[in-house]
Amino acid sequence: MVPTQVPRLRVGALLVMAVTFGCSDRNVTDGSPELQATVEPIYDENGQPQSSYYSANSQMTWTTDSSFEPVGASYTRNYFEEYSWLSPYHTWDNVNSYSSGDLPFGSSVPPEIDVGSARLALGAASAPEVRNRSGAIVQPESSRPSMASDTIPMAPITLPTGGPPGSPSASTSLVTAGISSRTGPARPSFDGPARRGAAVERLVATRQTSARVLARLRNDFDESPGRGGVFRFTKGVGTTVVTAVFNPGIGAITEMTTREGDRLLAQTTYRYKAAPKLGGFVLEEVVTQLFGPTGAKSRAFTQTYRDINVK
Amino acid sequence: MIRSTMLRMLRTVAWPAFVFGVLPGVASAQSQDQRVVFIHGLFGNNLTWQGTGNYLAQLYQIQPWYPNLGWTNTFETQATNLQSALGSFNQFNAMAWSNGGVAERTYVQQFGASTKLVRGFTVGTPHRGALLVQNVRDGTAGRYASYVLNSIADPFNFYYAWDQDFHDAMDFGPNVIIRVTMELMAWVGYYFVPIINAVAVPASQSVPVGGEMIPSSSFMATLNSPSRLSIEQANMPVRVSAGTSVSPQNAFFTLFSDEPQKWGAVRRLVEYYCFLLYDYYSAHPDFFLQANAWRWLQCAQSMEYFDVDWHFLIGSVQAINNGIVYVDHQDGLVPLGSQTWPGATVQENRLWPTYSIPHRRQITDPAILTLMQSVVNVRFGIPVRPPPLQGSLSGPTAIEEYANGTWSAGASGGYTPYSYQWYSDGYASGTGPSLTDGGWGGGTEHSIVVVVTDSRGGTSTRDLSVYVTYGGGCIYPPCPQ
Repeated sequence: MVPTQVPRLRVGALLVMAVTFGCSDRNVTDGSPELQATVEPIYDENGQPQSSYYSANSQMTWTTDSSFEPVGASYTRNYFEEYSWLSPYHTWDNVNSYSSGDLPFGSSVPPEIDVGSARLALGAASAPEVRNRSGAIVQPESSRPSMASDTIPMAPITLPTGGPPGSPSASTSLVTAGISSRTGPARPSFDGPARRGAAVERLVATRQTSARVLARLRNDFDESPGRGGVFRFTKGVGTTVVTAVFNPGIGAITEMTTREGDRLLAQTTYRYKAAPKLGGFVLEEVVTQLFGPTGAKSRAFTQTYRDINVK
Repeated sequence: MIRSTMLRMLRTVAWPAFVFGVLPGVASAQSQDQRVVFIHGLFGNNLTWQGTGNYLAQLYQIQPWYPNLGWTNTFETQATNLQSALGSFNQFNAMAWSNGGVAERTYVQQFGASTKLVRGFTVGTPHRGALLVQNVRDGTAGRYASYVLNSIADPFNFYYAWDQDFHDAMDFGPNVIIRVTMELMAWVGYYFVPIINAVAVPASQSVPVGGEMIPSSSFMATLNSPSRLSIEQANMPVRVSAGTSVSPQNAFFTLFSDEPQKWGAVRRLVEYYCFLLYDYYSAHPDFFLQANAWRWLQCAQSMEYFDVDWHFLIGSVQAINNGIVYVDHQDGLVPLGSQTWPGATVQENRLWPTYSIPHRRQITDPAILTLMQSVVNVRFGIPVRPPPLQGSLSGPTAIEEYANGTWSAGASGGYTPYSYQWYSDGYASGTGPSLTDGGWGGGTEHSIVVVVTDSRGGTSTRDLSVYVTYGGGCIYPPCPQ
């Protein structure tokens, strides 16, 4: 079966240079003994990552929500994901390759949709055009979503006032407070090295990546001791509170939860396996359990990784 | 428009008939035509069948009746209304769509030996109930709608609020339409759908027929019980049923669109980008954003499962084996299993992939019109309507003075036998297929008229002028001796 490559989505890359905050040669003095060693630089003096390629076979499985769906139905999709560091552009390039049976959009290539021509047959009504807020007809340039990496330099942060009910409902002032009071500088996590390292850091836990992840958590989240020697980090933005559990024995995040107020929305657990060749661990399985309004478990997403290859 | 419609109704509708919503059939219908009552379904009225009924009446000797039974009433009340609407007439044929089929059957079961229906046809009828009604009434469908809308809008709005990159991308150029759409969807999901559930669900529960449409209702159990089916068989010997189906892919969109595949493509596109954005955010350097990447999975999942969910809601899921969902044929709304009339003498289906006929087109689709012609003609035994009566008149247009001429009449179309009435210069001058008349003086002109009448009172009139010459055929005197 010939894999089909989906359009590329460039990740990262906004602030190529920037601050080398949390940079590689920091000594990590907290946490387990393994992390107290001097951390090898993950990037060289030119800001290039030591690893410029990684790949993994990924399988995503999800279950049904029995409130609406037939119990027993499940879905599995396999794909090969690759991240390559593009030096000239200082960005990771992500390509996912699907076998034809695992394409997320069915058995064909992504459909090019002209939404405006999808005619409604309800009476004589039709929706032949797509218009913007001013009423002018707009022609979508592409079905590919533009990311901020396409539009640098970035505009100043303008958070919405109120926003629709589906979005975090905090007011502007609360939003501002939520960010500034916890993080100091507006968005320290968007530094270039962090962005370049993030993709690798999710899949691989080595001394270098562990130190960087921990440092960034400590910079961005509120830390509190957890049970069993783990570190617990919390960050609230608006009404959404995220908790991350960092296991120093593994050197990686092993759990993340999302709450909306007091309500638990999702809990993601990360399972790793030892990778002696890499001198650390690699991600093996990510399970996200969602919870319904009553707190009962609803659907679960399981993502497994095989054949992780970092070069 | 409303005014003219009202005036037309007031002019043409007999008051007793108006009370029960019966509109007369096409003007060309003859009293000797066979009566066919066309029964509407949910949300329908006496106008529902008129286009199709009048079309059939042009082709077959049908006198169409269009009662308004009140779609919210219980099936028992609709049956009572049907009995009233049919008045003192008997020997009706019945053609029913959707819920009208259940009303038709209820009527036969309810009135037994005194039923006025002798032959029945149903198409797209939920003979075993409609599961979607149950899911609407208990709020499941509303909650699902809210879930679907929110699962799409939530990640967009969340990341629009908290990820400046995404915020900028959504405010960039034409992408603003996405942002506006998501705001609208979030609004609908959070406010409109709950309102629907708070208002429409109780309203649907207050619609009397709704409770009876639930597959597990005692009404449905009774309707299809052996004893009731025996009553149908005894009192309506000809029972013809039809079902249709559409592709299981994008079945929901067939409810309102003739291009369901395009809406399905939109759905798949949303799924595709949600999955792609999950990949992006699951490795995002901002752990707050990374921890919420699952929101995109929820979006992708809801889009991936949309078809399955819809089949589940309408009751067409038959089995799930190893993650594969097997579904019954369905018309987008009702599974074929429910469209099948228990005890029908004939079950005619027009099924996907040969045909694709959604529920809303079940009385207008050309394939169904053809099927209904067959039902009317073959199953109901109603003859084809002949062409209109056409009379003819032949004979001399000039005769000699004091001589007689003979004119002949012919006829085609209409209904035999024919009768003929002749008029000479406006006076009745004879009957039968020919007329002999004359004895007029030269230089005069006379009219010959024949009125052909068929057995149902249809008439056709023909005439000609006869010029009377002088002797020897001379037209203008003095004539040669």
